[in-house]
Amino acid sequence: MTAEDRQGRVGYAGSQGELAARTAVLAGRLLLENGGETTRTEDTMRRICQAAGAQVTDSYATPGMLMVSFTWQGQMIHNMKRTTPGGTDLEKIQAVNGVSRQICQGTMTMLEGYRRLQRIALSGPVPLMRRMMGAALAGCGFGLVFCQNVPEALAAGALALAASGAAACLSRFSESFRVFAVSGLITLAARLCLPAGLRPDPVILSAQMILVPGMMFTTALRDFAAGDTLSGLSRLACALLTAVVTALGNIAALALTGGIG
Amino acid sequence: MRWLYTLTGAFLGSLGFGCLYGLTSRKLWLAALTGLGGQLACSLVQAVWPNDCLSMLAGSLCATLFSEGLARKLKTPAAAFLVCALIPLVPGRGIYETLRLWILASPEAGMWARTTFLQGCGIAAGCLVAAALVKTWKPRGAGTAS
Repeated sequence: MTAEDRQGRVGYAGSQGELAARTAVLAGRLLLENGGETTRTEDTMRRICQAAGAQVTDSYATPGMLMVSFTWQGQMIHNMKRTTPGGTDLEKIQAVNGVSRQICQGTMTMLEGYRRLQRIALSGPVPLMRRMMGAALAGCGFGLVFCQNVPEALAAGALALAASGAAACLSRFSESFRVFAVSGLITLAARLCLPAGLRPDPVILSAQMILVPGMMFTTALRDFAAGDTLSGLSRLACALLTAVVTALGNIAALALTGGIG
Repeated sequence: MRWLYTLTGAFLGSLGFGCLYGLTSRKLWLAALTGLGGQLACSLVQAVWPNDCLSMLAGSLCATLFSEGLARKLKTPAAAFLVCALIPLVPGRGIYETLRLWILASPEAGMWARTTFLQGCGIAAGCLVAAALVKTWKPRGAGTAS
């Protein structure tokens, strides 16, 4: 995020073409950093530029960077931004989509669109309570699928809820370490605290599904389907690395509790 | 009973991931229903023709088409529904077991890897077929969701 974005400054003194380039790149950054697929990002940036009267518009996005280049009133304008992968927030993606749609339909000016996008960028992540509730529901759901009985599904839901809280506490650490630690904690808790009669392995597996990079895997598939092999491969590699870290956390905890020989 | 657990689990899984990813109100429930529909299609094909790849293809095709339809009706990105709907189908268990067994040097890792790869291919193929269908049937002059 640039200093200007962080400060939420809303005034703009440049040309309409420059404003379009800034707006397009900010929209693209919000989409990429919140889990949007590459083709949608490129399409949104191109449409925003064209709404400002840009000609010969080219937009390019990968999970790590994006750029836009176009001709506006005979002048070549370029803008490039480095992006850092963030969490997933589908509401932000929808909000950016709404702004882009209104700009393209002419019901919102470019400057108002830029201000709206800045406000979206400054808005907070998904609230912790909602994330914890989601994790508990997902844990229960996958518990039903993998365990095929209600008590173990409820145990998986409780473990996923606790894991989500632990992940929030570890938010200052890197993503990889957080996944490793939470995966290990789930395994430790299941092996040490589960009541007799409940099988730890399917419960661990169900609770750990909240760590499995399903979103990244799905977006990678959609990138492949759209013909964007580079972005698809990049996301697939990230998804596999996250899965490796999850498995390592599990194995470390199993080794600690004597679960593997 | 197995079907009841599986379908309820898929619904709750999609609903949970919808919450995790910040979906709210009607779109959250529609995403969960899309997940249920995808899992139902997958289970039906699996019952008739027990094949990992084909059942995943059917599930992902159904979920993708349903998501694209909802996206056009509600003027919202298809990803909002599709991401949550595909998660019950994503072979998370397969990825996890493959890596776990591979790290433990178990020969079963290869079997899990094969199954996971086939399931992943089925999902990707379903997405590709659905994307092609949506592009083919797009009305003239209609824009995309953006």
